[in-house]
Amino acid sequence: MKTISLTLLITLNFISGFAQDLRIVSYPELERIISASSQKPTLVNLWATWCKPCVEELPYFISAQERFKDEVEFIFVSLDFMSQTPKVKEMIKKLSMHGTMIQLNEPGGDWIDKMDNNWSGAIPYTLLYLPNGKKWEHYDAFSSLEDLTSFLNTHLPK
Amino acid sequence: MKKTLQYGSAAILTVVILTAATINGYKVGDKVKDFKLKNIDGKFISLSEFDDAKGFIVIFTCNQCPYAKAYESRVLALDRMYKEKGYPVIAINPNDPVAVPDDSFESMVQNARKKGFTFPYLIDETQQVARQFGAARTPHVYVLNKATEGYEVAYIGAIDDNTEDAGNVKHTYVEDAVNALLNGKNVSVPETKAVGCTIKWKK
Repeated sequence: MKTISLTLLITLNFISGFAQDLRIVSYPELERIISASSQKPTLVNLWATWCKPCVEELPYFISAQERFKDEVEFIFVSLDFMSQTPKVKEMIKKLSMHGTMIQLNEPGGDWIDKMDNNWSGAIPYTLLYLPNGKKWEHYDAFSSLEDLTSFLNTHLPK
Repeated sequence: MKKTLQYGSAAILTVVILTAATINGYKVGDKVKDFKLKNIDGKFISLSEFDDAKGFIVIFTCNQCPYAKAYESRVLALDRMYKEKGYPVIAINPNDPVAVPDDSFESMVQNARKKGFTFPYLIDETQQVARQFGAARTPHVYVLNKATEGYEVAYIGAIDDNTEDAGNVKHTYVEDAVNALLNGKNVSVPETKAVGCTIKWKK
């Protein structure tokens, strides 16, 4: 009995550990998370489980994360519907994604202009925030890991 | 955009020009150039054929994007509400079927039949109309209003402010715009943004 409850406890901890990996936040909170992170260059990728080009480029981000782990913070923001949280978690687990995992809880599009006036709201979409306050946008998907690393190398402070 | 130009290699410039073409497009108040696109029944349709139209609800949409799908029944409702009042829905699929096989003409025909579309569902094979409008995502709405000659853009943006949950919509942007036009008033919120799927451009 003791063993069973111990196993149960460990399992529950394990599950809640995974659940903690994904934070469900509104836009103002996302802004705070980004600004708290951007003393260091911060790459914010907006994606969704249903967005094919997004899912295709995620492995490039995961590899780049390894390569730039001392220089760049990675924040992944899922725009999936709130009913799809289990699917988001499943994908995070399947791809062993790490870094800051967020699901944005904004039913409308008011926040889009606040994030970037020139962005249409279409994903994939990636933003690089630099500590000096500069911001570099990448509309659409990266075609390869090289494409992503050259974007980073071009814009990261030398 | 300006920042990118500093790196002015030919490749980057090409990208910038392409992006500019999609970002530019029509603004609210712009005159709309008529187009001729193939409908799901095989016939070609132009705006000029609609003698009684006071305007149009032009919606760039597609078969497979979850955001477009989430709005299908609301698009049907818009057509039901406004066709007879002179503002019919015209749906246009701009996606490259090579990139997205589910957005092929055949799939459009099937999707329209399955969902009982009451409005034209046109294929923008050359993607020229989407570029002309400046459409960037699906769904992306342009409400057009009759001008002295042809039509002009009265509203650009989202259908409403809650994609996932139609029951929790607070602002019905497109309805509000068309109602304002029907009452001879100005559209109070002429531009909104929404999350959507990128239009899949031909490579």
